[in-house]
Amino acid sequence: MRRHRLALTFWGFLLGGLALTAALGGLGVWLSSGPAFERFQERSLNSQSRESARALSVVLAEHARALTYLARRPRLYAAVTGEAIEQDAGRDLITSFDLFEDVRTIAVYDVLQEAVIAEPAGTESAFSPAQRAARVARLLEAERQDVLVRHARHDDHVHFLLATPILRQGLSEGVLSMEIAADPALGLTGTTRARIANPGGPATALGPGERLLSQPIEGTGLTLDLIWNSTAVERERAALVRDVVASMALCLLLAFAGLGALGRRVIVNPLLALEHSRRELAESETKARELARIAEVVNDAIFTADANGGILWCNSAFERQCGLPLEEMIGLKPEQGLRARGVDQASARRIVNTLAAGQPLRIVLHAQPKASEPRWYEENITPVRNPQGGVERFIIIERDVTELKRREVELEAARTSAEAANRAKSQFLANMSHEIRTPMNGIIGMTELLLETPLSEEQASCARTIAGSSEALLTIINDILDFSKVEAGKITLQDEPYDLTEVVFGVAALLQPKAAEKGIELCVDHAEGQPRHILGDGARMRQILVNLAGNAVKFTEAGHVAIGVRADEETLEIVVEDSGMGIPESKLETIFVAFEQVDNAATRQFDGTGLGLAIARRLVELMGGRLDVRSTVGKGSAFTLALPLRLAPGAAATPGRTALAGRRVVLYESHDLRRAILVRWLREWGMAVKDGWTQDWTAGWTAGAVSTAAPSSAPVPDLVIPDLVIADHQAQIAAALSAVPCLRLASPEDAVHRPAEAQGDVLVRPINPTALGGALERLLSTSGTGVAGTPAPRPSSPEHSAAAPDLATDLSALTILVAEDNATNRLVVKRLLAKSGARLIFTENGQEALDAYAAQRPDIVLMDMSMPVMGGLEATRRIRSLEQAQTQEQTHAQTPGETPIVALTANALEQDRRRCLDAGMTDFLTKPVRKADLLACLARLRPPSAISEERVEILRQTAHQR
Amino acid sequence: MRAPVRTTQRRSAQTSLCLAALLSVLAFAQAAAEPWRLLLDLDRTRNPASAHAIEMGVRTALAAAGNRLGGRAVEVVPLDNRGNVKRALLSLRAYLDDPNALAVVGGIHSPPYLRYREMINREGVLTLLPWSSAAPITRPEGPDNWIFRLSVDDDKMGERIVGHAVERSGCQQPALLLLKTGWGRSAEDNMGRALAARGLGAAPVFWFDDGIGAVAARLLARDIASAGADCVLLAASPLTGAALAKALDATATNEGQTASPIRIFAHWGIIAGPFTDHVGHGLRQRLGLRVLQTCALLTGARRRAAVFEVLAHAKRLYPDTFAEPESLPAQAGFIHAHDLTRLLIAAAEQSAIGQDGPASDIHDTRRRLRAALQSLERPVEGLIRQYSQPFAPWQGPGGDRDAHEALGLADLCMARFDARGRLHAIPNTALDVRVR
Repeated sequence: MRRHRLALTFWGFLLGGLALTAALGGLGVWLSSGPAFERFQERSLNSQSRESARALSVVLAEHARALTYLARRPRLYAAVTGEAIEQDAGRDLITSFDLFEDVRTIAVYDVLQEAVIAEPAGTESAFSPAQRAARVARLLEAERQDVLVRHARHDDHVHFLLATPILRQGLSEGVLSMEIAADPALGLTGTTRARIANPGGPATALGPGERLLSQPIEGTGLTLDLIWNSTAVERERAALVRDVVASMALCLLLAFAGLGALGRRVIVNPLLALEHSRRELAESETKARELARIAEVVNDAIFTADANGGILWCNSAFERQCGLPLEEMIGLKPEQGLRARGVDQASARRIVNTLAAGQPLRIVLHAQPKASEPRWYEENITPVRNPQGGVERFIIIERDVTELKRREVELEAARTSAEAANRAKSQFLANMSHEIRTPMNGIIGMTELLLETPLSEEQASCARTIAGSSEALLTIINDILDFSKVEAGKITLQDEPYDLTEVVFGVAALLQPKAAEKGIELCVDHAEGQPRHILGDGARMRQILVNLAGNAVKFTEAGHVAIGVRADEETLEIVVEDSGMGIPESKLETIFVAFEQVDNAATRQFDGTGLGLAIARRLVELMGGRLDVRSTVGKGSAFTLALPLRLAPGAAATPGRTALAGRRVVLYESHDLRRAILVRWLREWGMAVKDGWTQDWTAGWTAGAVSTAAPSSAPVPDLVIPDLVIADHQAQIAAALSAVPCLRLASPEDAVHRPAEAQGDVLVRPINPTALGGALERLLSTSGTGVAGTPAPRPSSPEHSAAAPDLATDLSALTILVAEDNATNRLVVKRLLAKSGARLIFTENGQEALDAYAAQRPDIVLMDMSMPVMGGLEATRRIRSLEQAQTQEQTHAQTPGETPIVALTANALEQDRRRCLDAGMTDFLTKPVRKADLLACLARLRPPSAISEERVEILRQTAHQR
Repeated sequence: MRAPVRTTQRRSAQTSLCLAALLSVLAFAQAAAEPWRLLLDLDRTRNPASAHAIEMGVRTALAAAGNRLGGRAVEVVPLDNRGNVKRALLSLRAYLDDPNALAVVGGIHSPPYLRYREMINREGVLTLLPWSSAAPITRPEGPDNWIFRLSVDDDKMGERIVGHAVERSGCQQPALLLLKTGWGRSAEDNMGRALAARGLGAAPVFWFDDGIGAVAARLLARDIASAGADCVLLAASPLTGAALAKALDATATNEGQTASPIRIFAHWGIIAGPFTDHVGHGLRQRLGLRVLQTCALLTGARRRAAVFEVLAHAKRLYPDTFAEPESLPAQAGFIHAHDLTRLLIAAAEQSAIGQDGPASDIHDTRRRLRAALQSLERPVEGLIRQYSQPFAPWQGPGGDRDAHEALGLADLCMARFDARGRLHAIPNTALDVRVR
């Protein structure tokens, strides 16, 4: 209120000052401006009238000159006398004459006093016809080239009529007259009007408030009277004064606004600030009182201490806690006997350090007040600083958190026990897995060995059954293990580039034998243009595809299984399709549920846990994709795996095969699906494809059919010879094509058993588009050399061929150290490697293995993980450090490098594998180990020096023959 | 309005007549007292010599007839049109306003009668032209023709001038130099036609305004010389013609072509005034100046009795002027005006208009007078020759072109100046006559 009053007073004062100044200033201006302005205007009018008169006389003289000049023109005379031939001769003369702008009309009168010429036509004259007639009549009598000047008012403007006789030999034969407006010469303003007065004529009558200035117009004998209206002048003056006063007022207003702002800043604001701070003080007092009350009654103990820790004030809660009144505690430090038992030393030290540093601190303490049992306190120490930054005192708030602390401890205990249980479960699972795998190793290994011994038919059959059952059991165990991992969320997916083509064709190659066995066609449709290098977990993708395609092969009795890959911008789609028994619609979803197969009969018929699809679907979901199925009972099923497409960075788009574009090819492919796929691939490359198997390829294939025929193929009128033949391995090719390069497509069996029959190159199924494209380009580029020059058939065997075991059957140069505590397993290894020729050294625990290693330097070590005395991991670490030491000693000797150490263990979990590799092992095999896997591994790790080049070649050839 | 002249001759006899009768008597008395009037529409100001000559011709002829026409007194009213077409209109209006005006005698100029020909024939202004030569004047489009000429007719003038210049004087590159008026335009037509007949249709034409100064004349002369002309066919007024003659001579002298100066064959317009005062004999000689005339010049050798008789009358009237008739300035005006007036007198006698009562219609009188002119029964002796049926009724443009022309080509001659500035007609040869 007071604030408003202050501001009002201030502004009122200012406005009063403003009004007074404005009033006085305005009055002054008003009084003094009148006479000054009048004087000024008088002077201006005087000069204006002189100027106007002079201008007028100049204008009149100029026009008179022009007029007399015109009047002397013979053509004008001819016009005025009527003897001119051209009707418009005189008018042309006048219009061609560059007249002044202020000429209103120009006219020529003849002796009949009729206007012969009047330009511009239709302009109203300021002079009456009678006036004009009088002038003409007078001038028709004239005998000198005089210019008659007359004036008139018209529409309140002054006009002059200049007229001169048109003389011939001193006789007037006509009159030329010109009417001009005087206003442009006079340059009158709005308040002034002009009048031309004749000498001796009546004096100009003045209206009320009018004033007169007369000025003779030189050379005319006329007088120019300028008349101005003093009322208008008054009005102008008033307007001027108004403007002056208005701008003064504006300046004043601005000045006062500035003054006001300044005054407000210098006078009002400090007063207001004072007022404000007073009120704030009162408010803060109230607040302080309120706070003090709160501090007093609150449950938490609150006290303040000086910079040294001496108590300055405390609330009643603290008094209760200490059992002393405030007065007795002042100056004491909390640790000076205020509690039954002080805080522990570490906490005390922390508190002291913090206080010394002046830092705030929140700490949980265990202390015992005098009156009760030891309790937990959360102590919140806040330093209060003086304006200079020094610590003035501390505010300490103690909260009893004993209950909280107790619950926390209980929770921790519960968590620990839960984790222990979980660990135990995992351990159990691992143990179980391990425990089962170990005997399984024995069973599988021994069965394999058994099968290599001479057996009767019945015995062999039994042994094979055992082997099959064991494999099945192992699969089940693996599935369970996988599934448990998936369920436990323990699967971590890799995220690195992998070759999808490799994966897909690897899967196909893996399943090819089984498919061939069942007489099923296994096709892969992965065109070259489709994505190849993508980001993700290649191993898991392989697992999923093996699962899906394996299932398809398993549940298909006849027909085909096809794996198709296609992609658009965002999605990668892999379809596994079969022509198997199909799945009823009601079961479509349950097949993905763990432990479900379509029906029990199937379970009986087809072994397996039924976990495969469940695992596959979980994996696909982990990859961010979907796994769907469509199926028609009795016709087949299609599993569609859709993933977000993530191309590997830097994966170049497959370059087109331009060499193939436009080339013609005849395709002899017996299998419909394979044919369809091939035709599509070939056409994608721009080739012209004819089906030679089901149709007459010569029909309708003329020279015009292929626009970009290769130059090598000269068009033949009736029959265009194709550039290429692609044929089933055993297809009979038309005789006409005998000279055309031919690419044979063979099943693996054919490729192995009848290699020589092939004419031209051979590609082994499943056909890889990259290989196909390469082979076609090669064939086309070498086709000029003829069939005879075709290189020897070179079956492109799939990468994942089963050649490795055979290659490794001869490992005679190797010394292998086996560390295995289980006698059965030792026997299995011994039997598995019996025919390899490798020298085996068996040890029963890590220590023995370490000793044997140091003594005998084996080429490869097979190491069990769990062994008495010293485990496999520890033994591995020791071996590695031993190697390092020796390497440093024998810097100059030949560097032996690291001896490959392969874990051979029943611990099949990923973490086991990780632990082994971390310890320094080279590879990891799980029990039960199969002979093929073991041999492949050994062959891979075999040191280069251990086998001669010669032997390698022999081994390779052997492999091919197999 | 003319103030009525009171007479007492008839009023005493008919006192009891009604007011209407009295009024008609008053009108009769007034008409009877008035003489015929001949209005002379002449350029007394700018071409006083021609005007004077014409007036003398008229008066001399009238004097020989006792100043009466068909037995009634005639009065000559000299007017001055100053060569201004518009002022000529004033004369025509005066004629139409005058119930006793019998005829208008025209002056030297053609434009007034070209300009007002339609009005003259419509209103019935009996116009006698002793000088104006423009061909169309006497050849209106319509059936009415009130204009009679006894003078040079440009329709034939071209033939005479061009024939003389080309055939008699050997001019090969003629150029036309013409006043920019209707007269000049008509001269262009006629001379052009005559030139075209001689294969010279492409002769250049130069135009000038009347009254141009010496500088403009010099520029024009230089243009003519540049055009390669060896003679000029000139139609000009006396003063302008003199300026042009001087300019042509100066150009020839300046250009070093004195050996073959451009010769001048002039229409007769130049002799209407003081041409010889400005163009001396030497200059006339250098320019080989020839001018068109009617053949019967007073200087001519063929003096007939009739001529002497006329000159005697003239000498009585104008003793000073006719002391030496050969030197009479613009004598063609005198001759033509005289002969034309004689024809008018003969027509008045033949039509007996003098016996018309005072109440007769002046329009009727004029019509009868015209009819008589068109069919004069008796030959009339004139200064040029004896006229026998000189005019015929106008039959429209399809009829006789020369119905209102008293003279023919044979009456036109070229004339030369002697050292005193007198004109001497060069008689037409058989060649000249044959060409026509």
